[in-house]
Amino acid sequence: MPLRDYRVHRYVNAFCPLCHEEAPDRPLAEVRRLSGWLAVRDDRVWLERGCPDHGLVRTLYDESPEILTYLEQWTAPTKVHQPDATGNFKPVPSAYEDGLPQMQTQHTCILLEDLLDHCNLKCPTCFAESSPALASVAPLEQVLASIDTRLSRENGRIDVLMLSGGEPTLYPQLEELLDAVIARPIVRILVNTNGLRIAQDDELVALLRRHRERVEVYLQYDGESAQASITHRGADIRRFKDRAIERLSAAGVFTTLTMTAALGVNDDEIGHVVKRALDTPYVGGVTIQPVFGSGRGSGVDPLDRLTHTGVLARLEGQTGGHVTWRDLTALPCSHPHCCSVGYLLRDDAGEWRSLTSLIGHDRLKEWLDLEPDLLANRIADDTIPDAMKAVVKGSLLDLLSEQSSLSHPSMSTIWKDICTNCDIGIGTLATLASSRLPGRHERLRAMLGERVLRVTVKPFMDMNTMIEERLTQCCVHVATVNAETDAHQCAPFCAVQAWAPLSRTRISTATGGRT
Amino acid sequence: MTDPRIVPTDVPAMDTAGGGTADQAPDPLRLCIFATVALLGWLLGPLALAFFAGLGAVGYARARRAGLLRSKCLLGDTRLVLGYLALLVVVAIAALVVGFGPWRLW
Repeated sequence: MPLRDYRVHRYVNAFCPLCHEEAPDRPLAEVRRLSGWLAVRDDRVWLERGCPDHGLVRTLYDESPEILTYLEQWTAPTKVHQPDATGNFKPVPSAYEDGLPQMQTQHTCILLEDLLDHCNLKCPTCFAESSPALASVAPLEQVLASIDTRLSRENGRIDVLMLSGGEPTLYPQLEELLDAVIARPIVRILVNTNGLRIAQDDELVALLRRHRERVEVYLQYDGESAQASITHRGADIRRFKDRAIERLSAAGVFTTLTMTAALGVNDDEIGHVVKRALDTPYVGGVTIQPVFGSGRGSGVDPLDRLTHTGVLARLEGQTGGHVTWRDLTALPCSHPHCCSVGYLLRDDAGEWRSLTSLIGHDRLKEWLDLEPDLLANRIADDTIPDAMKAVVKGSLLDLLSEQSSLSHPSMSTIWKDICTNCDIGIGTLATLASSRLPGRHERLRAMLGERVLRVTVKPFMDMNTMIEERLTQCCVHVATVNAETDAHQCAPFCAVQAWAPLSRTRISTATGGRT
Repeated sequence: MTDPRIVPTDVPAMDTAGGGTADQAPDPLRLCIFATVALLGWLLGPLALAFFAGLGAVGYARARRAGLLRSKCLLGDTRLVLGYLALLVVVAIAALVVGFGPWRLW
């Protein structure tokens, strides 16, 4: 028998995009989980699944098998979760109708609350299908009830709360909401915005500034070209973006530039976005999200598209070699295909260096390894004190998790732990060492704002790339409301965006019409 | 037009007589079959139509019972295909009755 023209990289359960397109509203109990595999062919990774109706269906999964294999090395044990409904052993995706099922393998790192469906833009690629025409707004008490339900299932603490929508800065009770969530044990609050109001509204900027110790902004920013803005946002709104970045930076509010990147549109502007972040104080992060085909974004070519590893592969050429894919690792808390992260630090000589290059891949991997025996052995023949070694490892795990960002309260400790173990310059160390002294906190904050950048690549799944194991280990959960019992619960982000019956249970849609 | 995501899975027939491999030039068997079907249709007329439409209807009925809801046929839904084939059978029987009975009209 002749050999196959591909190598199986991994066996997976997937779904048929053609069946999905024929009946997007199909009841979830009728959605078939299909046997399939990730196949490496022609130096690309293809998702192939067998559908009883359509036969063998093949779509592009990732552009680089080499980088995908590299990412798969970075895994760590996941945290125990509390299911929303005990005994929910239904299969994916119908299990999510009752919230997080028993078979989920990660807790909620990020809880995403869609405050409203209304938006002041109608972006052609919006996965939430928001628009000015939609009016549903989740009542404040419902949002808080949803947050409190999650707190009760997360041992009384939420790491990250992301306020989204629609456009969350248009939420009529935003100030009351921020006051209420800041009074709760929530480590950080992210506002996911298009920046139009931030560019124009002084009161809003003042509100964000007032809460800047705990509140951070995720600002959509797609690059420097008019084409990127028009394709993704429906109009050339670059002047608003520039103004929003300037105002947030001046207010000392930590901001992450969130880039939607599409092949042939702005995939050549990734370097520009990273550079803009490096050059702008308090822009502490860049998140690059390859465009995905859920919601209104249906123009993605399933056979030739920008992918996770494609973004990583483009970094080196577009940043003049400053950032390469080896400067990033997979986020150990989520599925290794779901997110990659890297930290860049500017040393006293003004040079940007990555955390992986400072610590080294092998050492980083050892520190992430939670096998106690192995760790004890390493400590025995090392000059670093035991306690310090343990703290550094814990700090790294925090750093390389979905929950981390520069406004995280423990960040100064984390950086101090890490930076005493790698050479980033005397001035930096002096600032870090003195941060515990009264009045030095602001200095440390400014240093993090100017000298540290977090780069992440976050590829969300649509039906052409959806595999079950990534949903199972997902830790970015969208607040939903049970269609039958009205109970507050949540479900993986990509599942909620892809399947219409789940999308309708998002808190904004489900409770927005009840007032 | 077929969706480009659908991968044709027809495997070239293996030469069991020996000597041949799957890499040989493709065998245009279907063209021969089409010509033969056309010949039978010309010679046997409605009789051939009744036979092939009946054969198709039985085949699709079995496939549907086995779980095939959609066919690669242009009509898509297997119920539509079955209806179409049944209609062909009826037309063929009508033609036979009208054309070959003692009451033939021409």
